[in-house]
Amino acid sequence: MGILRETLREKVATGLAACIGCRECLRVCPVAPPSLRIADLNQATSAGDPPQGEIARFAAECTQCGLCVPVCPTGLERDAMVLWLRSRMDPRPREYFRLETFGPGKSVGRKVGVAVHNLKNRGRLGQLAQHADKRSLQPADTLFFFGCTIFSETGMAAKVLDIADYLKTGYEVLGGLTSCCGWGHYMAGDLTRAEEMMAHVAGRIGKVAPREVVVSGSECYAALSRIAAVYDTPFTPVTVSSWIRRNLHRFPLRHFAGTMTFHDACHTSRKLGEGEEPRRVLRQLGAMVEMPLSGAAAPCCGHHQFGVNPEQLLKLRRDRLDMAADAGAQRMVVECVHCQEAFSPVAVKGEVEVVSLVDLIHDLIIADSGPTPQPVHFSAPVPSNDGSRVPAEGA
Amino acid sequence: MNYLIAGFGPAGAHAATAIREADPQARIRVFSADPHPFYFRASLPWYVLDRISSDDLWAVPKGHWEALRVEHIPRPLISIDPGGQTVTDSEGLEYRWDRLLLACGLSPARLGCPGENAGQVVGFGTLEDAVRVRELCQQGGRAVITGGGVRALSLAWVARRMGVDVTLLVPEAGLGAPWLDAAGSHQLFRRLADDGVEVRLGERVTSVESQGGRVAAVGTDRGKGIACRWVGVGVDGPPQLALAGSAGLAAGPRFGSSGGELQVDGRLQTGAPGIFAAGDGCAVIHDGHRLTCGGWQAAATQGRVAGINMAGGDAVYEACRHYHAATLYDLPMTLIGAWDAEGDAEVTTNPRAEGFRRLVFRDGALIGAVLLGDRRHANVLRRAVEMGVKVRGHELQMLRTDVDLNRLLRPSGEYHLY
Repeated sequence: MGILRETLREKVATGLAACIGCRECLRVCPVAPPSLRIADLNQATSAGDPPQGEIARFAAECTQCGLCVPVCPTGLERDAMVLWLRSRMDPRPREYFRLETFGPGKSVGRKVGVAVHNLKNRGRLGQLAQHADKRSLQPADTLFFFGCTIFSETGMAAKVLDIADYLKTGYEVLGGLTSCCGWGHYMAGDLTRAEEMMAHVAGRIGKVAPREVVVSGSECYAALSRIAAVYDTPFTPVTVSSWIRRNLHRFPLRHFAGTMTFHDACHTSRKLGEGEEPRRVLRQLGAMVEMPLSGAAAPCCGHHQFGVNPEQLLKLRRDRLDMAADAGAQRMVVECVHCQEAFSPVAVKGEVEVVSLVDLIHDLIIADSGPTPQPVHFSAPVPSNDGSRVPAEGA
Repeated sequence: MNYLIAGFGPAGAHAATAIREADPQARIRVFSADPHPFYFRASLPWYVLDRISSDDLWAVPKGHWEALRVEHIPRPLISIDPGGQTVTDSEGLEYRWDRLLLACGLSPARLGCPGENAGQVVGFGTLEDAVRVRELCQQGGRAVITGGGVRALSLAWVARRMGVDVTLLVPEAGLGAPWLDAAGSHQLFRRLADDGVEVRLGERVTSVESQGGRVAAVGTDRGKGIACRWVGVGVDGPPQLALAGSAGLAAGPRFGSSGGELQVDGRLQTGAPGIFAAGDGCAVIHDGHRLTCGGWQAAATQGRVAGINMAGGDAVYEACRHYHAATLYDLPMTLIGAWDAEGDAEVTTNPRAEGFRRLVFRDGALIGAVLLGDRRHANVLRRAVEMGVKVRGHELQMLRTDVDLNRLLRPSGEYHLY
């Protein structure tokens, strides 16, 4: 049994014994149906059979935001228990199939698929294309890890490298379909594949032997933290916010017009308590207000629902933007590439603008030094299956 | 095989489930004084506050026990004949057993003073108690609640949420005994005071005075009368040991409290062949540790271990696996490992700091911890205890909540929260 599965199994056993049925986890859950009973949920979690009916639907719609964890009076991790249910879903939701295109593979078909995908995206990626699924990695103190998010239509990866170039930092880059961190697969309950992918990424990072690995995705940060802890790869994972904050004195700082607010990403500022780093940067960049639900209470962008219930996701995202508007913000700043992918298409023009911390710093250096070679621009969103316009997440 | 279980709380319920998993042919009967099958007693505060319905209180779906072929007999057992392998219930009916589990928990709490049977004196251990508490809270006024543990503090929290003025009389010198020391008790005291609870330490009720058939005041051992509309009995009763005593099983002294407790080995077996015990009122003696049981999760885990062993398996309840998370008033409290053991080193947070932590070390390894007010790192500390990781030199850092413990302990194994 893999470590991921074994760790999760232990958490589930502990949780089942610890649950006192107070229902606080379901009360704060943004997707739990009111009719759902804890007794039924626990029963399905402890059973060996695939979940059925309402429980299966709930397991699929869970965003893995983790809001259920801090409210539990006995400290159990309901999100892990739902993940356990997800790992046993049969059939798996068709929305998960997209994940099968990520990660390493030895078959000829797989290699051709990756090559074709990268060829199609070459023009859009510009200079970044040289890093996508490249074979050769050079030793470097700093590694920028983008994984599959190198293809993100937010263009965050290219902007991060622009900033690194501005700082004259030496670095190596790891990104592409084959170096996806596997966290999405973990969140989809595919524990075996997730373990394989994390082991693969650990091996690739080992080739670079970096001192630190800078990541732009919240879940990539969670995955890299785990890789650093579990595999023999002695590096320090660093969020792009921390990296920016550390170099803040080297940027031509100025105040942006309007008021900003910050959306906490689940796996960095919320679950791992690193929300102060981006805020320290933002306070240097202009006026800031906090939304009523921020920090540990911040709702999730819904990325890890994988679009199973598009209407529900749309509502979650619109509600969050409304919250930002109600707080008096003209901009909602995110630090995670997936949060940006989730919120940007939903933002209505003229109301709250969704930007990343990287976007703001990138704007500063562009203004200071003129455009660096071929920055990647946010391209037109692609239609999603719910009729709203959602960019392809991570690919 | 005939399996009998005395008590249908978490220990009894989890034991029954484990037995059924191991022995599909077994006959399993569970006896309880409470007329209801296993329910979420620890959720009664949320039930009183109307945040969950009575349907939500049932810990398993309807028909679960029938499907598992577990028979519930809503009568308590009153005696055991260990030689003849029989028990007798409260109606004098006799049952044979091959394996017997004692999971009776604690006795119903009593004040033990004149006037204790008045209609407005209420406990907080059963569904019926909760219904009564809700009625009394809706009448407003002042309540006097006795005790300083989980039950009393839950009752006080509920009463405050429903607008009742609360005076908490704590017989012990501090709150949260035996888990918290003076520093931890002080943290809790401050929280209660901030929420408007009047706390009187080292004071107990000596009489309940009624007027016109209603409770009007209580007298205390400090000679003071406190006017009130009702009295909440939040002190835990002593372990129910009469049934064990009828089998000649002697009880040892109980840690940090009055009364005795039944000693079992790591397999949850008592000194009598075929008789096991689990949950509140037991102490596990294993590998040089003596661990006072108690608490929902611990009882559930012990019930499972006992059930596996009763059905012929081989499971051990180790002190390092002990984990109990509860809420004292509204502050989360976590007990990890051998939290009550004597170590060769111990560190405690500064009394003026927010939150309370006490970590116990032996031979350079963390063996137990008590956390109050902040559950961060509980899983990491738990894993460190389970793995017996040597942490010498990091003791003070481990008290801090702003240190990345995963990273600190990483060289010794897999600690990540994920």
